[in-house]
Amino acid sequence: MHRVALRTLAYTVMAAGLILLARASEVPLKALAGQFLLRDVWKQTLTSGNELKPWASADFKVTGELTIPRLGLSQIVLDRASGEAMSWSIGAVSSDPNTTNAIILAGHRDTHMKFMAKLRIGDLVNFQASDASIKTYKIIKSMVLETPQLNVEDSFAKASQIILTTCWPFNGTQQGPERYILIGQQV
Amino acid sequence: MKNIYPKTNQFQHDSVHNTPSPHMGPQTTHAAAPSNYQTIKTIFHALGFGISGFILLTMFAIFISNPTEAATEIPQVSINLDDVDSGQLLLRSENVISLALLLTTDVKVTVAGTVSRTTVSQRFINTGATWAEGVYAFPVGENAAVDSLKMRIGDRFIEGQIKEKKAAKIAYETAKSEGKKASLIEQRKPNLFTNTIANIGPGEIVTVQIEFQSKISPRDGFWEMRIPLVSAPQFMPQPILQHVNFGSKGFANTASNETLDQKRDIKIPVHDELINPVDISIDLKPGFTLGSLESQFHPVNIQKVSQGQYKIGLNGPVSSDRDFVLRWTANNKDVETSLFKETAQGVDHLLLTITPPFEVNTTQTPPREIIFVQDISGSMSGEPLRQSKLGLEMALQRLKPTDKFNLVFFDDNYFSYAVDPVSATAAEKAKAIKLVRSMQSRGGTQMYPAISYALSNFSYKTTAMKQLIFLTDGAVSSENSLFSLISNSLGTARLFTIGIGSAPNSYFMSRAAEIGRGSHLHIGKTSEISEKMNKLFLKIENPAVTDLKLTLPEGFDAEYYPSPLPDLYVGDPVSISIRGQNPTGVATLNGKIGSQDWTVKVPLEQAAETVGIAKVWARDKIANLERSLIAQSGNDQSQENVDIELLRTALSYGMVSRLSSLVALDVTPSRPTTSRLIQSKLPTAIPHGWDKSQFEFKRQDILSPKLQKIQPPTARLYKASLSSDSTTYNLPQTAMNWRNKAFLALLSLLLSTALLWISRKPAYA
Repeated sequence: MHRVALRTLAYTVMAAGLILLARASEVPLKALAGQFLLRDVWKQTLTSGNELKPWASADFKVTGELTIPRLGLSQIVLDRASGEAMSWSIGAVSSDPNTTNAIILAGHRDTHMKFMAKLRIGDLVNFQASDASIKTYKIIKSMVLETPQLNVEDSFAKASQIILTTCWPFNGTQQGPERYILIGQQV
Repeated sequence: MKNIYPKTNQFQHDSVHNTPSPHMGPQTTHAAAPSNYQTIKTIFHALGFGISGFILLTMFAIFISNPTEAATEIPQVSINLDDVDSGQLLLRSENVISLALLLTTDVKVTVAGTVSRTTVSQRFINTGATWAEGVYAFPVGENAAVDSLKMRIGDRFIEGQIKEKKAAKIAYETAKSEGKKASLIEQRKPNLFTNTIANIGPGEIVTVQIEFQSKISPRDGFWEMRIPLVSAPQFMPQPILQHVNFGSKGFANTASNETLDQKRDIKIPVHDELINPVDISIDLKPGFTLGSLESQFHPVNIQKVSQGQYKIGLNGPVSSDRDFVLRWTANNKDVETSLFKETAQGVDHLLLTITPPFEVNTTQTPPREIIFVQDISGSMSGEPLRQSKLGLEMALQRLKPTDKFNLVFFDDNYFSYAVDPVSATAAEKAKAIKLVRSMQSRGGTQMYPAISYALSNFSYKTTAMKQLIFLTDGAVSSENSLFSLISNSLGTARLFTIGIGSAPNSYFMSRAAEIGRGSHLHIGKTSEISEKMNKLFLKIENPAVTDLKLTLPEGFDAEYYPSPLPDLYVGDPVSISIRGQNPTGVATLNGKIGSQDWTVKVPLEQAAETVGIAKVWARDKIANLERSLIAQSGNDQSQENVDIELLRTALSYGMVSRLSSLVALDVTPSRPTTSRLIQSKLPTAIPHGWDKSQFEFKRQDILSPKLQKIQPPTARLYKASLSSDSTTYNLPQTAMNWRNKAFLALLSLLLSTALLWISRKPAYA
């Protein structure tokens, strides 16, 4: 009787663990698989010139590609920073990064934007828009914001900037209001 | 209708036993039919349930609505730029203009001889919930030159640079044509310094520091320094819209007037629990031995630092409710004549101050014709009118039978005591005083018709001295039209303005007196009336110093202001700013006191070096150019030439004027960059050379607990610009914390394995 109860408990804990593992691994798996899926769509976008939804049920489109030569990595950029979009890749906070001068991108600190911890001032960042044009930005400034709001003056945005944002601190275990931002000036 | 009654009935019967009903009306009518004890008891129960239910509901409603939010709401006061009489930050958010809450004011003044340098630092907070566009406004006095502006807006540091105003306006027009919201507010009053600041975040603290140079001349034997600290409302005359219908014969048959707007809503800031603390400290180096030194309205600490240097300070910050006035005298009258020099841009600038001799023969006063104009508008109500009436009565008593006088009273309308000026016999004076005493204040301020009438009321045939004495608080906005009226209709008359009350519009009154070739007198409190009125009348009963002329020595080519030199009355100094190369030799000032010649010889080499004289010269030149503009109204070509000259002077001396303003320059120090570039919460660095006591602070140290509840502003990205629109972006939550979940999952799996191992079948079984 005693043994049966213990075994039941053991199976229950195991089931819970498995479910939790599945849910946790969804994040990195999506992040990894997403890049393969999205990269194909991005190639199509570049050839056709039209922004495309990666699959029919998606609520976002593929809009650009961010590359960091020094770190040898690149990430596909999606046209919005919704929770769903950001589980697949980096999202654009400003509604249309191709028309406004300032490009504001957001990504998870523990997946797509993990590289922000390794970026330094002076690093070069390339952004390719859906019209295939490539702009190069040099990181000029870093900031930690205490609140998740950022006010950008038009005169600042006019001077062609890229703003990368993610949650702060990098190794934090809880969700909080602080954000880390890097500002790149077009070169 | 049929269905409603049975339904209500049904509801009533259910409710009396179960849930309470707030509808007691129909119930009582039903209960009235079978009147017994049981029904009444049920009603009382229902009532009890109803009330307690209502209380519970109300409490629940209060609970769910956020009470802390309501507590942090601070009333914002609506205001117009024309109403600014002391340093204020006006905020515009969605076309509502309000006052930013003033946290502190700090005024530091250094007086050296006849010039003073003032540094005003003010700290404000945007208590609104939205981003706002701001205009900082400060009344700088009639002869002050603003040349420095420093601002801290959140963690931005901005320094002003003098630039031509037109350039700023073109940028604004371009922005407007691109469909952006208008952000520039035009300066209306020349003695009001204004500067636009865009994008002030909610809860953001704005610190502004301006510096200005002014001239201090001795008047009636004393030197006076005034710091404007109180706000008074002003009236803007209503535009009159006239509707006319023409009959068949071409003549109007109906005409009706209507004012375009309701009377402007004027509110005076009233914060019972919030004061505007102000601290003042003055470093006084009079350059001579003091006879007396006193603060007119505030108790002060006076400390003698060394021979000839004094420190004057308040006993801790005080509430800002009246102007601060400091006065000092010399124990030797000779010092009222002085000559100072400053070499700037390779050219010498001199400031010559001369006070004509005091002792004048008072027995031979010439006959005069005096018209008194008394303001009885609403803004004068209470103490100002009472004081003004006292002053007017005193003035009437002093008239001699050889004098002629008339009285004009005005608010929206005007009326006079007599048709033409009458002789000041005892009977006439008594009658006039009786009329003065009966005056009550009311209505708006329509000065123009009253002044126009008074100026034309003099009987021009007489050779008597014609004097117009104008008693008002000067609360009027359309100053320029009044200036040209005075300039054009003055003739041989002289205009004297008497400002009454704690905060008269002294720019208007002193400028009007200047154009009217008379003088201006300010009376701040009742106890001063008798003394000051006596002085003024002693002054204007006596012959003035006229035909003043400055002759510079041969070979000294110089520009001097004011030009032409004004008439002087007893106690008035003449202050002349001169600019030229290598002043040597003796300058001569000639004039007439009555019929007597008066000559002063000034050895120019003996001038003492003092900083600030060059700015004073530039300020005097600009003031002179502005005066000549009024005289030349209508001639566009000469007005344009004056403007070019004015701008050139303002730019080369680095001064704010009608045509030049301070353009923002970002001086925020760049933070040190680390290789890992992880920077967090570094203390804000202050630009080198900035006043740390004013610009370096922590939010929690300078805000009351109530104000600390206001959300701190969001971070911003900006260029060195004070007039740019902005967009606030919400940055999404970007942490999935999947590692934690994975770790937890592995732990669970480990635990379950362990449990399975423990619960395995025993081997011996």
